[in-house]
Amino acid sequence: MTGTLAVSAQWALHGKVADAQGYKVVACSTGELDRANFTDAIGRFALGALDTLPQASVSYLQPATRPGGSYLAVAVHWFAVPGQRYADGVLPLDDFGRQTAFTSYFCVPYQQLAESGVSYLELYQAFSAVTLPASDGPPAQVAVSAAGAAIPAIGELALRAAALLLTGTPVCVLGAEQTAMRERLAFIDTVMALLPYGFRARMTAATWTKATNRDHKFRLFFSSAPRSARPTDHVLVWDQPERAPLPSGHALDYIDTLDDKLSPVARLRELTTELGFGPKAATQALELLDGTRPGRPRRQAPAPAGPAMTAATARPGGAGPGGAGPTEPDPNEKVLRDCADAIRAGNAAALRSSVRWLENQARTAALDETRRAAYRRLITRLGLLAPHPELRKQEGELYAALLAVAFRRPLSYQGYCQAEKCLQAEPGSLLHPALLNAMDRSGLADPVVTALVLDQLDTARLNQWLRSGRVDAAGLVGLLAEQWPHDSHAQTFCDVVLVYLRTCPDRYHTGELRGTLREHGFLARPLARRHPDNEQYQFYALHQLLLAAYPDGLDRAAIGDVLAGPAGPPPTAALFAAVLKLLTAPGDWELACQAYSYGSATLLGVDRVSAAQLRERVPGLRRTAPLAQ
Amino acid sequence: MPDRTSRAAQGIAMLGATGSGKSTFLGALPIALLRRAQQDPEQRWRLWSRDKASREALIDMDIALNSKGAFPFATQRIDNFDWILDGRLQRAERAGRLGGVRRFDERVEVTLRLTDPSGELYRPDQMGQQIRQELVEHVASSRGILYMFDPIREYLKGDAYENTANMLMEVNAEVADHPDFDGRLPHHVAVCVTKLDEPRVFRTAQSLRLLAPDPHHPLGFPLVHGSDARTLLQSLCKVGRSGAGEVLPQLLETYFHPERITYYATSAVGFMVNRHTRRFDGQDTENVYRVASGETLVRGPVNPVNVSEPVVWLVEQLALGG
Repeated sequence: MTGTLAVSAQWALHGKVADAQGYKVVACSTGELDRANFTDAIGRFALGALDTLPQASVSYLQPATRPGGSYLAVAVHWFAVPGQRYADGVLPLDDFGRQTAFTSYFCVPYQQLAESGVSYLELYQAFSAVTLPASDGPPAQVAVSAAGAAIPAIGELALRAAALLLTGTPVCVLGAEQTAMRERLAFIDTVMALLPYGFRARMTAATWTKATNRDHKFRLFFSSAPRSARPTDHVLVWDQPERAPLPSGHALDYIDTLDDKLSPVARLRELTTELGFGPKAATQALELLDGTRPGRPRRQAPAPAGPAMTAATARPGGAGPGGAGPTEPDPNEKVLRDCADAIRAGNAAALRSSVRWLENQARTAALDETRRAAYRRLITRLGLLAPHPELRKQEGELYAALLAVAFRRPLSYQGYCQAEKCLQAEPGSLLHPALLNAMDRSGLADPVVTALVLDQLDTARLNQWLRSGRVDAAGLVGLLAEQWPHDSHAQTFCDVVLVYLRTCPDRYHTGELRGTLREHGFLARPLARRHPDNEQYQFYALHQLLLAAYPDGLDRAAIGDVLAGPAGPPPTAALFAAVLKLLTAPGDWELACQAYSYGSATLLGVDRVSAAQLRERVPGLRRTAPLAQ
Repeated sequence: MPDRTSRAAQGIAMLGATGSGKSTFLGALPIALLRRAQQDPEQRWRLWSRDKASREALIDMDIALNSKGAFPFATQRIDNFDWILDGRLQRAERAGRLGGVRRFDERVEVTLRLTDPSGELYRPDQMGQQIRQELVEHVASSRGILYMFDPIREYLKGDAYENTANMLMEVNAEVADHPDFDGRLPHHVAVCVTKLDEPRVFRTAQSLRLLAPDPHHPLGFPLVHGSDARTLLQSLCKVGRSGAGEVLPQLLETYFHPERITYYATSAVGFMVNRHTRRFDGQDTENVYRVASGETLVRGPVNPVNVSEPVVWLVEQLALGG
C-alpha cells in the first residue's frame, strides 16, 4: 500500500527538569497508556549515556490492559540543542550542569501499522517532525507516509543479520561509526524487510547503544564494542559481511531460500542495458534474468525419479544433480569450477555464494558415489583442497563444503584416504591445519580417522578423545590387527593406541587387554608385515603393548602364553626380544628362549607330519619356576 | 622475599543519588592511582581492562576529566565496567611450628566488576520497575559497595535516608534466602562523603575541627581521618533538609556488619590549587565552576582526594579475604 496513514500516537517525553530528580517521564499523553507504562518501557529500552545524538530506537509495548494487541514504539533520542529540539520548554542542562539526553517516545497500535506495512524509517521521519510539549496532553495525530514494502536492495550483511535474528540471539553491529544514524536505521529496516512483517511486533533495535550498558534488551543494535559478559551476541562488522557468522539449521535454510526467491527480483535494477518492448522482449528478459547471477546456480529441487522428468520437459539447467540427464552438465561441477575461479580472482562474494550452494547440495540433494567420485576428480584437478590461506575464514568454509559434497559427512577413514589422494599427497603425509580443522568440524565417523586427524591437529583434543570413553582397548587392538591400505596410517594409529594404553590405564582392564592381544598374536605379525625393515619400531611397539598388558611383569606362565600360546601364530623375533627385555631373572630368560624356539617350531603352519616331527625335536616347556636356582 | 600472584574478580556496586558523583568518581580513579603512586612509590596500582567496552569507557572518562575538564554524562540505565586493578600488596603468613610470621610481596590483579547505575534508579518511585530490579540484583550479587553520599543534595533535598532505606530493604529481601545470610548484608561498604572541595562541605569539616594537616601531601591538602569521616557524615546529615538523614550511619550499620564499613571524605576532582603558590588555599577550595551556558567544568588540575583509598580498601578486603 502506498499513501499516507493517519495515526493517533501515544507519546512520552523523557528527560530531566530542574528538580534534581534525574531522568523521568517529564510529560506524556493522556491516553490508554499511563506514566508508569511509559516509565517502564523507556527504562527497558534505554541506549545508555551517549555523546552522539540524535539516535533512534524501536521497540514494543504490551501493557496488561491491552491483551488484544501490542504497540510498536519508536523513540527519538536527542539533546536540547539547535537542530535537535523535539520538545518545548526543556532545558539543555540539568541541575548539575550536565547535558540532558531527552527521549521522544511514540507508540502506535501494531496492527494499524502492519496493515500498511510501514517501515521504521517512515515512522522516524513522521515522529521526528513532532515537537512534544513539556506537559501532559492528548495523543499526537501524526501523518505517516507509507510507501509500502519495497523490495530491498539485499546486502549480504543484512541477509546474515536477518538469519541470525532468527536464532533468537541478539545481533551487534560494530564498525559503523562513520555512518549516519538514518543509514543505520535504514539497515535495521532492510533487515526487518527480509523477515515476515509480524516479527516487528516484538522487535527491538537501536541505531547506537553504549557498550557498557550491558543488559539492554535490544535484539539488533549498533555499538562501538561488543557487550562483555555477553559472548552469546552475534557480532557483525559493518562493511565486512564475509566476517559475519552464518547461522545453522533452519535459520540458514531461511536465508538461502529467501536469497533464491528474492535475489533475481531485487537485482532487476542492475540490468540497465537499454531494452525495447518488441516481440523478443520476453525472451530477452528471461535470458537476462537467468544471467543475473553468473557463477551461482539457482537452488534446484531434486528431480523426481522415473520418467516424469525427461530431456524434453526439463528446463535448461532444471535438473538437479540426482536427475541430470545425459546431456545436462552437473551444476555442482560447474560450481566447483566457479570456486576455483573465485579463488583465483579473489572474489570472496562469488566464493561464498558457491560454498553455500555446495553446502545446500550436500544437505538436500541425493548424491551417489559416482557423482562424489567425479567431484573428487575435479577437486584434485582444480587443487581445491590445497592450502588457501589468502581466503582467511572462508578457507575453512570452502573445505567443509567440499568435504560435505564429495566425501560424505561425517568423514570416514576411507574419505580421509580420498582427501589425501585429492591433495596428491603421500599417504601419511601431514595435512594442512585448515583442512584438518574442517575435517574435525565436519565430524569424524570412526576411531581411525579421528586418531589420524586429532593426532595432527591438537594433542590436547586427542587426549580428551582418548579419555572420553568413546574408545576401548579391545576395539583399538582389533583395528590394528586388520589389513590397512596404508602402512603409514597404521603406524600413526598404532602410536595413538600406545598413547592410550600408556596414559589411560584406568580406562581398560588388563585381563581383557591380554585376551585381545592373545587373540591377535600380540600383533607381532601385523607389525612385522607392515614394518619389515623397521625392527626397532616392531620391538618398541610390542614392548609397549606387553607393558600395558602385564603391568606387574611377565611370570613364567605368561612367557609361555606370549611366545608359545596354542592359539597364536609363531612368535616373531621382535616379540621374543620384547619379552626378553621385560624379564629380569636369568631363569626367565632361559624359559623365554625355550618358549620362543618351541613356539617357532610348533606353531608353524606346516603339514601334520612335519609338525609332529618338529614337536618331538624341541624341548617341552617347564612353566613352573624352580623354588631355587 | 618470595613473590606470588593472585587473581580475583569482585563485583563492586556504586550507590548514590543523581548527581552524587558516581561516574566522576570512576573517571577520577586512574589519576587518583597515579597520584597515590607519586606520593608513595610502594603503592603502584595500575588500572586497565581486557574488555574493549570497559577499556573505551576508562579512556574516555579519564581523558574527559583530566584533559578537557569535563564531567561525564549522567549515566542512563546501568553501566558495567570490568576494570582490572593491578598492584602489589605485602602479605604475611604463619611460617614454621613456632608460629613465626613470614612476609612476602604479592602481585594482586583484581577485576573490578563495577556497576554504575543511573542515579534515578535509586529513587523509591522506581520500585517495581524492571530496571530497578536489575540494579537490586547487581547490588545483591556484588561483594563491595561504594556508597556515595552527596552532602549538598542532602542539604537541599534531604532524601538520602529514604533512598538508602528503600534500596537496602530490597537488597536485603534479595539475599535473605541465601543459606549464608546471617541477618546482615555481607558486603564491605566504603561510604564516601563526596564533594569535600565544595565550600559548604569544607567549612563544615573545618568548623567541626575534622580537618587535619597532611605534612606529606605535596600540595598541602588537609585530610579528614577515616575515624572522623563518620562524624562528618553524621553532622552533614543533621543539617539535611528532612532531618531524617541523621540516622543514616545507624541505618548502614544495621544492614551491614559495622566492622565492614569504612568512611571517607572525598572529592573526585580534589581541591583547587592556587595558581600562584601552587598550594592548597583554604579560602578557595572549590575545583568546579559553571560557565555562562550553565555547563559545569573542572577549574584546575584534578587532584582526587580519597578516591583510590576506598577502592583499594575494598580490593584488600575482598580479594585478599580480609
